[in-house]
Amino acid sequence: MSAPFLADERLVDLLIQQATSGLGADEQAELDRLLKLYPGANPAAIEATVGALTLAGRFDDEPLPARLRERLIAAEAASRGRAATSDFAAHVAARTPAAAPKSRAVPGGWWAAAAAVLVAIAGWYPRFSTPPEAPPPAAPPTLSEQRSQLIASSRQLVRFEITATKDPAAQAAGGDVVWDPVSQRGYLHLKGLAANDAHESQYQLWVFDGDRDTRYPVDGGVFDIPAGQDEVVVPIVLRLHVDKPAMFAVTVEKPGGVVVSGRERIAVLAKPAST
Amino acid sequence: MLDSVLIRIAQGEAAAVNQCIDEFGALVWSLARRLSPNRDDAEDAVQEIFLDVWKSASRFDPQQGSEKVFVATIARRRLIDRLRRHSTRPQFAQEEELDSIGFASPGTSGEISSEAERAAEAVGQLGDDQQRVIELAVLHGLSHSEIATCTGMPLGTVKTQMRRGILKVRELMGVRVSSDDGGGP
Repeated sequence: MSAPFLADERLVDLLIQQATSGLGADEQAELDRLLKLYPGANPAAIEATVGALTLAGRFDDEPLPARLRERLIAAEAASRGRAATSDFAAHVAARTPAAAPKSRAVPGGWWAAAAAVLVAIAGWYPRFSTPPEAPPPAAPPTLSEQRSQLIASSRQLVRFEITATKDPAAQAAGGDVVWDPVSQRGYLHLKGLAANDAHESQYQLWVFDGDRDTRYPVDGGVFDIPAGQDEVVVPIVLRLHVDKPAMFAVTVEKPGGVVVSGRERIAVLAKPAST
Repeated sequence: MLDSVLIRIAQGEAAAVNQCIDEFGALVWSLARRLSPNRDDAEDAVQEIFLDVWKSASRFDPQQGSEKVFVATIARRRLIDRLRRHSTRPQFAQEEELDSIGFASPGTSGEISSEAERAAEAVGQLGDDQQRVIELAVLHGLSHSEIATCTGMPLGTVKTQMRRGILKVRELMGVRVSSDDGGGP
């Protein structure tokens, strides 16, 4: 036995086309008319099947480019209408693979949930409630602009001056860190730090908290310096709350970063500014 | 369900957005590159998709499906809308011009998700023609008429094979008929 609307060949053809390649205005109007004939139908069931089939394709597993990741973070902040960057803004480059949650693991009890994958999805499928021609998002503010906005808006802002170490990557490095302890967000502003090859190494940010053991600074994530870019702004969002930031440090680590740094290469340090 | 990154986003949890990009970035990027005319357009599409995912996160119900299917469906929808909006759908004259993506082989994937495994198993049980038209539609985004053009099948045959194939996949994946009738909230 099948749901009545699934026996309507034209209706099913239109639902499939809608889910795979889209419908023109006339076809959409026809689909809407046909759906009215089946008040209890769940048209999202077809789209859910297509969604599951989409996941079954053999796709290249290319990671999201770091630059695009940064753009997403900035866009997310802008979409929430915040003058400064959001609490959600985070480290620019990808987290260490070990730290990144993997969605591909097969959970136990899948078989019980398998049917639910395609069942009654209309409630959380926005097609039927989202305008198909939604305008593209507005261009988000740049990270430099977001940093300036944070400086302008925060009353508790703390500034740290960057000093270079003798590490060869940092001989001409300078810049600062601005940090808002209330919102727990800030920006690392770097100048003159050497570009890195992300396949060989990445920079990793650390925060030394006055309330924590100095052997275990808080991980601020990894980031890259693109070739030819002398100046970068890196948004900082920490997964742990830092009450008393005493110092920031940037180390050079293996791609993806480390959980605990061996501190073999410390590129720059940022200590509280004197004024 | 604190483990659900989408629910945590809907609740305003800061780290969840970052985690969402970690979990689904590669998937969305792969789909965008597959269904966009060029890399620049794919990057714009990824941004549009993630904004939609975050905006729609409150609609996600873990009792009704996985996060990955939810994200993949939004991604497909956005990509198709973009192709139609910009009239930039690639034209394929012959099937040989399409690079071979295909469906993953069932049972070989520690790499793909449970839903993908189930779908791959299901599609593997279809006939060759049904598999091919579904592959061209789902993985390449071709319309019925485009599939007819590049495969040489009559349009009516393409529609019939597609319809029967998709419905068979649904059946093999274990969808309960009563749920179809029940509709969604």
